[in-house]
Amino acid sequence: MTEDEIYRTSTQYRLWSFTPEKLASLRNSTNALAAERVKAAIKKSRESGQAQPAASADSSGFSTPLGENGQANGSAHGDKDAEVETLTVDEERMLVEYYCSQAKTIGEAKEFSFPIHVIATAVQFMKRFYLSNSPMTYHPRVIMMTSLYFATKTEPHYMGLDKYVRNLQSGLGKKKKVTNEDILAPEFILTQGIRFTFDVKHPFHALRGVHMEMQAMVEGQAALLPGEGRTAKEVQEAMQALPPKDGAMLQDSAAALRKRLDDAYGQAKLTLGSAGILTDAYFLYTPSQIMFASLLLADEALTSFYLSTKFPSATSASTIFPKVMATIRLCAEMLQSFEQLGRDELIRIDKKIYKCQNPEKVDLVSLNRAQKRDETVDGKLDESVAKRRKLEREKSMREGEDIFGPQLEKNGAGG
Amino acid sequence: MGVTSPAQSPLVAAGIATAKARALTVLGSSAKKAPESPAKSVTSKDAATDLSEQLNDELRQKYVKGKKLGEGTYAIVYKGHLRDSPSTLVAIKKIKVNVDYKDGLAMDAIREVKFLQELSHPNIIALHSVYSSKNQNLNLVLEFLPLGDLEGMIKDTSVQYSNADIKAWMGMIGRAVWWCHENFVLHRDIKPNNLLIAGDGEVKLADFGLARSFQEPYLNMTHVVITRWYRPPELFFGARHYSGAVDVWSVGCVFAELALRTPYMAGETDIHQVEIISQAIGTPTEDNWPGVSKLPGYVPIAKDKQVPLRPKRDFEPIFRSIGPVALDLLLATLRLDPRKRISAKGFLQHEWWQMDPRPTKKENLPRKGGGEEALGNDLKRMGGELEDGRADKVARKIDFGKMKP
Repeated sequence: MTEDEIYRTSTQYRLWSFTPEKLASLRNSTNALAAERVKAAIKKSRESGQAQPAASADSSGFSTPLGENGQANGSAHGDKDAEVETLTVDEERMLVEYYCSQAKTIGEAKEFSFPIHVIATAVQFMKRFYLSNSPMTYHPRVIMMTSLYFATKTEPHYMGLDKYVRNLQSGLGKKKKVTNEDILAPEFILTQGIRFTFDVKHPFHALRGVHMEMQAMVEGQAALLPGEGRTAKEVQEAMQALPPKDGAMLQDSAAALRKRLDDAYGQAKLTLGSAGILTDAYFLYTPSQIMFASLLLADEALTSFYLSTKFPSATSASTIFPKVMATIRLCAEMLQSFEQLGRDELIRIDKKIYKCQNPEKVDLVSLNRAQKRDETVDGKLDESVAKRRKLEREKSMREGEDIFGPQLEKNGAGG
Repeated sequence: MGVTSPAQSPLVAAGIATAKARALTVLGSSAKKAPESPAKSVTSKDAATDLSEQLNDELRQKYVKGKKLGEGTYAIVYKGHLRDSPSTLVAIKKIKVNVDYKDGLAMDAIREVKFLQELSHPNIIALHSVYSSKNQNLNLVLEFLPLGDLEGMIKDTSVQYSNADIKAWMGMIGRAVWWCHENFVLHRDIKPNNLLIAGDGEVKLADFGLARSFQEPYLNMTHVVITRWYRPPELFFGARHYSGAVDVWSVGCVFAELALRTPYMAGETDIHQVEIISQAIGTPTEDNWPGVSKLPGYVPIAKDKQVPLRPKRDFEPIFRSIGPVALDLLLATLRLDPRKRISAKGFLQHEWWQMDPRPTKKENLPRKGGGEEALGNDLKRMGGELEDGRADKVARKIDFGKMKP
């Protein structure tokens, strides 16, 4: 069995890989669905005249541009007749992306200092969750805190909930109170949203592996594939003759070449930890494609040289190699075009979502309690529970009769 | 507030249903196709559920839960079947909510679901599906394995089995462990009652409640894993960096137990277990295991108390029945130094597999009854736990505090 075949058995491939068209269509549907439901829910809450608690859309602490802007003027869904303006697909995507970058900021903060694979897993949990859920239904700030916690359990980098909340609190500052229940209440919703698949495959190991392999090439000790015409020594020489990067000096010494490798590795690692996890790359490409794309952006000549040694036969070099390179280039373009969302845009979306949060899903803690008390989310008691309660009611009524004696006769002796 | 369903107009409901149906198609849902005339076929209940809730409901509807096969502190196991095909049996393991565990979904359940979702192999118990029932209970739909486990086979004196049978079983176990390691998963609780037997005789590795991925080289792992009798010496010495070799030691212990029909090294305490290993194999020293004295839990043994590494001839009288080449393989799995221990791949490439007897075909392997109950008992158990009366109850409490780098 090849590594490709093994990868194709993974849930990452089976459930979480898409063509760009399918990905877009899924997001469109999720957005349309959530928008209809938000409108209906807000209409209903207006009609019932209840003041809905607004989602706290701020995020504060951990140096974020959002903060004081969250609480917009007046009540969230106050204006009785105005049509609710819901988020567009793009706005949803940008908002999720922003909170994914927040997960990274928090995970890297000194309170946590999580390894990158923990952060990356949390981010993918969020991204996967929001393929079938909308930020209008579940605010990404809430899901972010739970995703990060859940990733410490799956990766595992477990620290315990108390400590997690303590650290989170110390990072958020006094302004925003976080409780254990805030983290746990959405946990079930999250696990269901990610379809109970907890394994995420990352490109970080692969990058380290390629780095080590290239180091061996520099030393003239590469283990080459059968069919490779060159010796390890010749590969070493070919590597030294590579065109220098961006008009740099020709790397005539092994030391200079080693530095070039390390630079490429360092830069690729940074790309993987930012654009790699924050774009849609995981949905569209395999971990190794993402890894090579990040390396290609760091040092194109080096990367294509390395890859060429993997296609020693003339036929594979002329057929498969160009295909592989084309895919890697597409992925590289995606990584390169990544930019963090501008502050103004973010504040605009944040104000907007404040007005189109589904009022029924704002208080997840209460919802979760209600659900654990045997009630379904849509308020209908489950049949068996209803039956049990009826029996309990009847029983207590019977007991009541015993305690207080028989019912008074209708026209019995009063006074 | 908040828990009531919005009263939707049929038109809104229809719009929602269409969007939902489209999304479900992309997500690969089996049941939902965009309805021809959405307004008619949509109920408000349908429109009020989340996409993920609906996917979950569809999965839940696929199965029918039957009688209870076993109940433990961690899980309840039911017999079940496909709704559309009552003859297709499954085991449904319902994870209990642990009231003492205040940190949300329990680690055992997370590990089991995480790894079984990824590992698909004829010798690893298949996880068909995961869904949640009411009250947020997690249900694992597992392969139905009605013929008990290897422990039952070993203990049942009315069952006779041959070397060819042992060879067949060891091949299946070896392939299961190889597949885990190939996927960078350590099982960390291999023992006869986690090796279940399918209706066709195939042995399947189960209970991934203690499993984990191979760690980043620079990060620590806990050493409190694997049920004591099957636990390798490096873990008793507190090794925080280990490899697939820990599982291979367990495989060796199962191999020996199959041959002897009694546990090979059954210590009553951890210290006793180390003594037994030293007596059986040899005392771990810097000579036979360079670096062992640097492990945090290593206790030096006085020279005059040391048992030198036992030569093969010491084992021959004990394991005469399996033959000399099988013994070579067994000893390769029980090397003290984990770096010298054979890998799961090496295990499968050993020359024993080229020799007579050929492994028994699975359909001709010995069978015993009472399997359903055994399945219930095996699946309800938590990792690291032996049945009552078989000492030990280890490894459950993983000291997470020590796991950090």
